[in-house]
Amino acid sequence: MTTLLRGAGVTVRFGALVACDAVDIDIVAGEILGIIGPNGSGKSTLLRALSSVHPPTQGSVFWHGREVTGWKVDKLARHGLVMASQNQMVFGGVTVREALAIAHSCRPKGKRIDEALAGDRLVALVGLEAVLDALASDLPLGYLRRLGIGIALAAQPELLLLDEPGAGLNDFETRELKSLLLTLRDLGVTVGIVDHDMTLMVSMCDRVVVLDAGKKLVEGPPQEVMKDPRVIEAYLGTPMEIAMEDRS
Amino acid sequence: MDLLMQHLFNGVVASSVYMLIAVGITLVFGLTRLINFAHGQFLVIAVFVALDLITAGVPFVFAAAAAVVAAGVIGWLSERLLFRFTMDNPYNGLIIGLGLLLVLESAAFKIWGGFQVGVPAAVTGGAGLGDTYFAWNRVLVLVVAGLVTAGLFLLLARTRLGAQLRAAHENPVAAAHVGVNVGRMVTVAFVAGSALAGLGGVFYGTLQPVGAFDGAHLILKGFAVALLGGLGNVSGLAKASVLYGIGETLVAGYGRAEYVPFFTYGVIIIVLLVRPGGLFEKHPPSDSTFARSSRGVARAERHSRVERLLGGAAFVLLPIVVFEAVGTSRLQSLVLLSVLYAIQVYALAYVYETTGVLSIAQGGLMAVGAYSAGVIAVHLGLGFWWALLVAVPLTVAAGALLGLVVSRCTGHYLLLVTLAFSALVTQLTLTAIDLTNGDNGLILPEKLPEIGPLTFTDLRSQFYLVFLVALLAAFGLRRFKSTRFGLQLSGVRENESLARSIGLRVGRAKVGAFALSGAVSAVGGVLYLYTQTVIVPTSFDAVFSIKIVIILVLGGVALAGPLVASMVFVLLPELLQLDPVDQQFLFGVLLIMIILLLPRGLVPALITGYSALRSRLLPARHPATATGRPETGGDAVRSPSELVREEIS
Ligand SMILES: Nc1ncnc2c1ncn2[C@@H]1O[C@H](COP(=O)(O)OP(=O)(O)O)[C@@H](O)[C@H]1O
Ligand SMILES: [Mg+2]
Repeated sequence: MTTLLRGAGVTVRFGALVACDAVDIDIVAGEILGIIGPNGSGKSTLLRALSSVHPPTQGSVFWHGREVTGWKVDKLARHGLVMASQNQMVFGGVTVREALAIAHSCRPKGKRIDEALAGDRLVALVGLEAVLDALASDLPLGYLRRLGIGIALAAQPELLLLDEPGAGLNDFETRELKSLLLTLRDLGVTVGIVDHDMTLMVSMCDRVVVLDAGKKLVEGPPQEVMKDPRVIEAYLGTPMEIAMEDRS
Repeated sequence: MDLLMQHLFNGVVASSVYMLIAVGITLVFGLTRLINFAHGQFLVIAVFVALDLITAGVPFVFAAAAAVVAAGVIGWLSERLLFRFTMDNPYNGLIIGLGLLLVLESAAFKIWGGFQVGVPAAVTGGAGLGDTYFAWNRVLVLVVAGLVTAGLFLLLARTRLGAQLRAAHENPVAAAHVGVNVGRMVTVAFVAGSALAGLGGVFYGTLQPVGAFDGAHLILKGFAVALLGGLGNVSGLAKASVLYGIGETLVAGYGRAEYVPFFTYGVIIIVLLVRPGGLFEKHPPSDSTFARSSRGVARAERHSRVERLLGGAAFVLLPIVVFEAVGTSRLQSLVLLSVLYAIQVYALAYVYETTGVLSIAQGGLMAVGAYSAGVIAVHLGLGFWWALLVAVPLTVAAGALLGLVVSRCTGHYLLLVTLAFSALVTQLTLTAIDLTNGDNGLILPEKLPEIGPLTFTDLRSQFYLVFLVALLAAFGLRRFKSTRFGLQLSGVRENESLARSIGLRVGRAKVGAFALSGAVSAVGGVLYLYTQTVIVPTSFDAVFSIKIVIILVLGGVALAGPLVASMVFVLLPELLQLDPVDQQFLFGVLLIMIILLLPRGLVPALITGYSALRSRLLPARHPATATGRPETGGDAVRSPSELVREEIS
């Protein structure tokens, strides 16, 4: 069990607001780690801090044990840490085929390529065969998300961070997303995911971290965490089971 | 040392005027993310108005007031009639401003003539203190400008109107929700900013003479100050103006007046390279408006094969047809010239299409190519092949430098930076008289070489040579699109932050695009030199660069567009027998009209019109249906050709 990414005391301030408050977090090779918490609890901010999109105000980030705090996003991506956030996932004005070719061209020249994450196998993996010649900007949401993940995968990440990849998807699309992420884990890509869909998170994640008001509340196996009174408290006293049933 | 005191005093006085300009720029920018290129010309007009009135016997105070009102009215009109239509797309607003600048410059020339004039000082005399002379006029300028600026700060801080302005500045959407009329605030900012420019103009006119074509230079000065202070940051402006004003005065005082432009452009370029947020702030102001909407003009469209063939064959051959059809060698040489223009347009289009940056520095790059070739021909007697050997690497380096600066900044800075680059090169060619012969220009002693049996001494053979090179450039640059590098650039264009987040070195890619475009510019520049045989600095000045932009906007980026648009652009003024000033007026009007009426360009509009017609005549084909996972999306998946048709109709 090697720790891929470690955040130590990660703190992000926006003026007086402390969006992330001294969060310690480890992501271990080969796992799917979920980050959950109420709206505004700092999940997206944490992901952005870990991936250097918006570096932490205080605290450090380690990648393979090496301090990478404040590195440029692209450099971190070239070292294998890629984040895909829901609002900027795709290249808009080109076809899916071209978008993947572009993504392919962006990775560093000398990098070893995992064949499962390139070319036709990548297309098949994310299930985009049917829409290769459609304009990316006109794809239905489910395809759009998969293209976003496909683009991120073309960069050959060791760790893929995803911010709400399931937002707005219907049940079928959510199930597809889940099986894609599980396949990724089997292929050796570690995944860190933020999502509001508790059913998805509980059934898929190996471990979850719960944030509340910028602080880490608990972490552990999903089933256990969901029963933790502090977590229930954080979700406004709603027992998790009810919250989970509510959405279906 | 005593002279130093004098320079410092003069510098502070000058800075108070720059402060007035920069505050106006910042006011407008803060609310609209727009830099009005014509702002500097408002000063020029104020100078002329004030001078006319004073000459007619009106007392200084009233003449100055009238000039301020005139500038305010022009500002108000330009906002009402032009800029309000581009508020959702500041990039188009910038180009409109550029057009307005051209129009107002040529109008000022028509009305007031080409002489540099000053405004008689309000008060004469002064007092000496040691070796320093304090002219009363300068003291007056300093005091009044200081008071006006202070008054403005008070107004912003203390009054209801000020509060509304600040609210609209901070967050237009929220301000609108709490009842602030943001549109009205924009008008207020425009009028106030322009009036300040008017006052600044009157004062500036009492300090030094101003000519009809000084608007571009003045906006660059104001921009340099605004940038130094951190755009949109009003409090940084005071410090920035003093720094800039003193720096400029020292440069002029201890160096030569000709060096001042280098100082101005140097400040712009260096600040953007080193501290894009200005001297007093670490981060540049956010530029989200631009991230969304910077692709207003000449967007590459997807055409069907028929359209591409139509564009490709018919239009591409048009220059040949025209060249052979026009009888006189005068017209033929203009067709040749238009193809030389087209080469530059292809170079510019490449950068625009790949990086999304619409650069006004094409003249600058071309100048590097043409002048380096000219200099080695005149001074070293080296011919055409040497010219290519020297000009191409030099221009590639210049292009890379430009790309480096450009990749450090976003949106609103871009146009100004490239304009500064262009102006810098022009100033270099003007100043380095020993090498370039300054205003008198270089006359080429060399000829185009013979290639086997081919000679290029007559117009026809030169035309075909240049035409061939233009096509090679167009197709050659096109070929790069499918390479790894080309794909990376598509990534930058389509979604820069995504490309970065998956590991692309975005800056490097942009530098590469500019360098590649520089190579084409160089070849075009050398050919210009070898076919026109005379080059002067104004051949490649900012107005030339703007022309290239207009042609690009007119013709779009498609293969034939630049060729056709260049021909229209070069031949039309000749056929209408327009003098250069009328031409500039026409260019300005054209630029404004294209942006307002045909934001996608003229030639694409023609082609689009054709395909709209075609899709109405031909029955629609069956949509390609998606195989597999039909239940996923809901919407049926559409084929690209269908998408294109929808997009167009
Ligand atoms: N760029 C920003 N500027 C200011 N505040 C921000 C910014 N991004 C996030 N915040 C604030 O930080 C807090 C955490 O936000 P976020 O990380 O998006 O929460 P989550 O993703 O858990 O819903 C929120 O209160 C949000 O308003
Ligand atoms: Mg979020």
